[in-house]
Amino acid sequence: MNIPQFSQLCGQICTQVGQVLLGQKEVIDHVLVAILARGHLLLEGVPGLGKTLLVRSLATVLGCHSKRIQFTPDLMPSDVTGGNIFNQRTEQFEFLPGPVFTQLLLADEINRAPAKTQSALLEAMQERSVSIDGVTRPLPHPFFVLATQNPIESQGTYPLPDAQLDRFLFKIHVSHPAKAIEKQLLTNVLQGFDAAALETAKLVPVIDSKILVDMQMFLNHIRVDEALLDYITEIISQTRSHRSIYLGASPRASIALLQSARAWAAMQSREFVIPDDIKYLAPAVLRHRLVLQPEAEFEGLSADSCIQSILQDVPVPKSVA
Amino acid sequence: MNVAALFALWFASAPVADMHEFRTQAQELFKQKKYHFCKDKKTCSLSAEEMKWCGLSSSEKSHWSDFEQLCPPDYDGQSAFTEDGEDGGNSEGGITIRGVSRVRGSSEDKSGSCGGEAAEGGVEGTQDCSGGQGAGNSGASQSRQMGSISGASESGSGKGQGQEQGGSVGEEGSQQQGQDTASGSSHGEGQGGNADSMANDGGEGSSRGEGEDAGAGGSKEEVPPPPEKPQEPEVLPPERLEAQASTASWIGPVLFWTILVLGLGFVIFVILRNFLSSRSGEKQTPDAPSRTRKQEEQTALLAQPASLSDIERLLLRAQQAAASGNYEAAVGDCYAALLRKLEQEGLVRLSRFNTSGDYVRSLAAHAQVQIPVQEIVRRVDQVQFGAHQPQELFTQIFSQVSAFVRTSIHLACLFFILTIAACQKIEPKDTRPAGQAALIDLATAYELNIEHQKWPITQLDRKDQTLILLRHSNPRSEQWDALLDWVADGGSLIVANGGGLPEELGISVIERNHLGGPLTFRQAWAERLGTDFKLFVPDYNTLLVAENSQASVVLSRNAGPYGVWISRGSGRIVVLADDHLFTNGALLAGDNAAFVVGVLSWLGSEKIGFVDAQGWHGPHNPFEAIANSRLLPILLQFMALMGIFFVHRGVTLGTPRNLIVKSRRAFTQHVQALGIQYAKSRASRYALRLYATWALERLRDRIMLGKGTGLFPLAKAVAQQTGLSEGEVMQILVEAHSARQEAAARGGSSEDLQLIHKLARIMQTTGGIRS
Repeated sequence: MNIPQFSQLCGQICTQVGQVLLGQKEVIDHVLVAILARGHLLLEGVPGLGKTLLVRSLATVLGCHSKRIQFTPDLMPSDVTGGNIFNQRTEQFEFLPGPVFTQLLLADEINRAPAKTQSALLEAMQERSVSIDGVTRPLPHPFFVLATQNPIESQGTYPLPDAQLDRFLFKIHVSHPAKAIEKQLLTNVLQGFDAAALETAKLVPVIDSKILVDMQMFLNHIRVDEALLDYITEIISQTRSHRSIYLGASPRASIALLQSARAWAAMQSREFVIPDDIKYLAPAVLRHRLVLQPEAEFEGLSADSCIQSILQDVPVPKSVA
Repeated sequence: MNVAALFALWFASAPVADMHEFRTQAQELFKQKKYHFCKDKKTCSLSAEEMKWCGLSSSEKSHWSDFEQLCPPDYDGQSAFTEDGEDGGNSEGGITIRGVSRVRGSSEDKSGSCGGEAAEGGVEGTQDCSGGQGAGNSGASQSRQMGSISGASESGSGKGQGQEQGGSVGEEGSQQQGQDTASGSSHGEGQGGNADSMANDGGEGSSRGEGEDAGAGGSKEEVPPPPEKPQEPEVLPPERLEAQASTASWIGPVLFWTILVLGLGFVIFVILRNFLSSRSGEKQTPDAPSRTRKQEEQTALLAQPASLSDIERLLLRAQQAAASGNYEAAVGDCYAALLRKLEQEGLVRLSRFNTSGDYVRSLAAHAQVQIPVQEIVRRVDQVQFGAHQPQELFTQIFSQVSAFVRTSIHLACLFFILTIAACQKIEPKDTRPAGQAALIDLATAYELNIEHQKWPITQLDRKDQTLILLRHSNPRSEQWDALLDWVADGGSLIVANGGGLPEELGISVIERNHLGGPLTFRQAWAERLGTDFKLFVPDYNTLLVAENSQASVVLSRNAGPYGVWISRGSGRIVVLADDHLFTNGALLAGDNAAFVVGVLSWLGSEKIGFVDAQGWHGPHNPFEAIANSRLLPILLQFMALMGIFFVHRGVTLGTPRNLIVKSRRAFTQHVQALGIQYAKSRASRYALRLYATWALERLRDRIMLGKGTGLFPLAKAVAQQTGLSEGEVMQILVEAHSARQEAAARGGSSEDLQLIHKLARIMQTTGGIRS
């Protein structure tokens, strides 16, 4: 595989998904970057914006199988990971894999489950394996979690622990589509599009899971200049010393920023990373990893505004200005 | 001084007596200098003054060897004579005596003959059957222009007589004023009478001879109503003119010196600031760190020629770096030059915190710029971050940046060239037909020092100087006083500005006397110059000499004097009816050149200055100043460019912002605003008290469910539910309880906010922060 092929495949994937999910190009790009960078994605948005449709269409286009978990307060960890069931006929415990054993996992409304259930995903997301009763079972490869949460409803929800949040590569805000996009969406419905029946959208697989893994491996060939490593570390360092940030980004955030920048560079037909890649992806990588000072929250600051101020304070490497 | 003796002296001292030589040399000068005369009718753009030359009669043109150089080949002179009436044969001519009276007449002659009878009342307009006076072939066109016709005439038969008789009678009339005879029988007598009538009417205000009556009697045709009379320009009273002049006299200098002083002050300030900053930069302490490479590069950049712009310096440095093999630095310099260029054009704002993508995205509104810049940036990124071979890419980047930069430079050069082209030279070497370039060349050829007068009239101190007042050089009264004093002290003055003479000279100018024909000298001059010596000027202005004037006629045309001579103190004044003799066009006609050089030589001044519209007195208003300085084309071009600029860049004068749609605010926004107010007033303690009260009550509702009211059991229950240590929860609850008991409205610290944060986390863990 080379850069043109890589870029071409990415373009085809985005085009295919974009046929179904109208007006969400940035979300599609970020999802693809996260998949290629072997990360997970947290989508924050109100219901009805097509988050589930995104995962399903992605699974179709990427040639991967997917499963969906609707998180509820009474959801148990074993409902996610699966468990050992006693088989009376064989008089042995048999492992019944949970929905986590898939390639694309949609964790819908992940914040509706209590912390212990959410924690069931910790190992799966980071180690890409599940340990049950002392037995560790690897997850399929590739493995990608796309979680959603509703920012409006907070009653009966459990905010994600910081450790859980840190395991998401990106946190993306999904906003309402523009009027023109929404009108186009209605037109598609009139023409017979049914989100419940994706086959009507005539989506075709662009790649399969093997090619996806190859694409993930190809990112190792993307060059990162040493000055850019300084740039990333300086940005992350600034999050830890910013006056409005109580808890800064972790080293995992640095790695996430580096890997996602490589994926984005490859998608842009470049075999090297530029500062613009890092600057473009930094908000998505960092916004869910920062805990603001209470004073900052009182002043109406957000994580995004803090990140922007940091990006405006860190000099770009090799700048000629 | 005896006038005859003076002219005898002139003829004796004239350095050139052969007028044919003058003529030949003048024509030769015209051929060499290639003045801006018309070559064809399509490109001919003569001014009204210049077109008058084209309206000379055919007989006059026959004395003008290079006539075709001035006028369009097929030009018949009509338009030059139809300024006052344009409809067929009906027109209105006029006689204007500036400042004295105005006599106007109209006539109609469609047949080409000067028909008509004397107007009632005994006052005639001018009669000019000059169609017959010359070659007799243009009667229709010229008789149309004439004023009222006195007496019936036949254009065909009485030509020669008319010319001679009119000329002689006119000459007489100038001396024998008051012999007004409105005869209607003879054309020759009619002209002479006309001259007399003008003289008589001069002091009486105005009178009018109606040509309709004459036409009716002569041609027996029905006369259409006369055309509407042109309005006389408003003549401002002297005191108002002086007030305007005095106002304009101080505003201009004050503005000029203010702008000059401010500009100079700014330049000096910038120079001093840079000087001081450079001095302070040189004062480095011994322990100061050595200059960095970047500083050295900047110093080297500044050391390059000052005439280069920043962009050119960067490109030059890029070439030098490439020559030394440092291609990566060369690419960086190219990129810097590109960004500097974009910044100069206001398209980007340079910042070391901006990425190349930021710059490209900021050009989204300028697609024609964004695309090439994006291509350049892509290649620069390949060198800087992609470890590509810079040697190969440098050539491409350099050529792209150079092309991009030079496109703008070319536009700037084009603007500069257009601006320069729009400028009109105010040099005295005006080569247009109405200019004085030929006069200067001709005079210089005869070793006469002539130039545009540059000094105010009040600073004329050279008594051996000759000053020529041309058209539009209208001195004010105090300037006239200074001029006459200067003449009395020995200066020589030639007044050819077409009017506005002081009353004490007793001379007025009559415009459009319409007594056409060549100028003739007095008898003594004719003997000296020969009978074939002819002077021609268009427009047919004449002078009106008062009875008590000391002026003596030296040049006349038919019935009226054209030039007079006045002796004043030690100096001399020559008054001409107009300045046509001193224009480029004049020197082509007849022996005009000989006359001009002869007069100037006779005056014998070492220095000759002439004054025209760009004379010594300032404008009366800004519009006049712009017109005088000929800045109108530049201003129009500048305004057009500004218009294009605004069309190109849009008409918004500030940063466009989305309209704020007023809507009802959500409850959360009110809460947020309240929180912001608390934060601004530093009322964190008060906020903590409110929140602690609410949180403790809610926790009891959620967890205790009536199991007691103490903090200890509550802390125990919360610890069990949240997983926190009991001691930690107890500490939070105790602090919250203490804050609840306080009544502080202001003050507090960040610890209060941290406590709120901890309480909020407990609330979230135990069922949300809202319920």
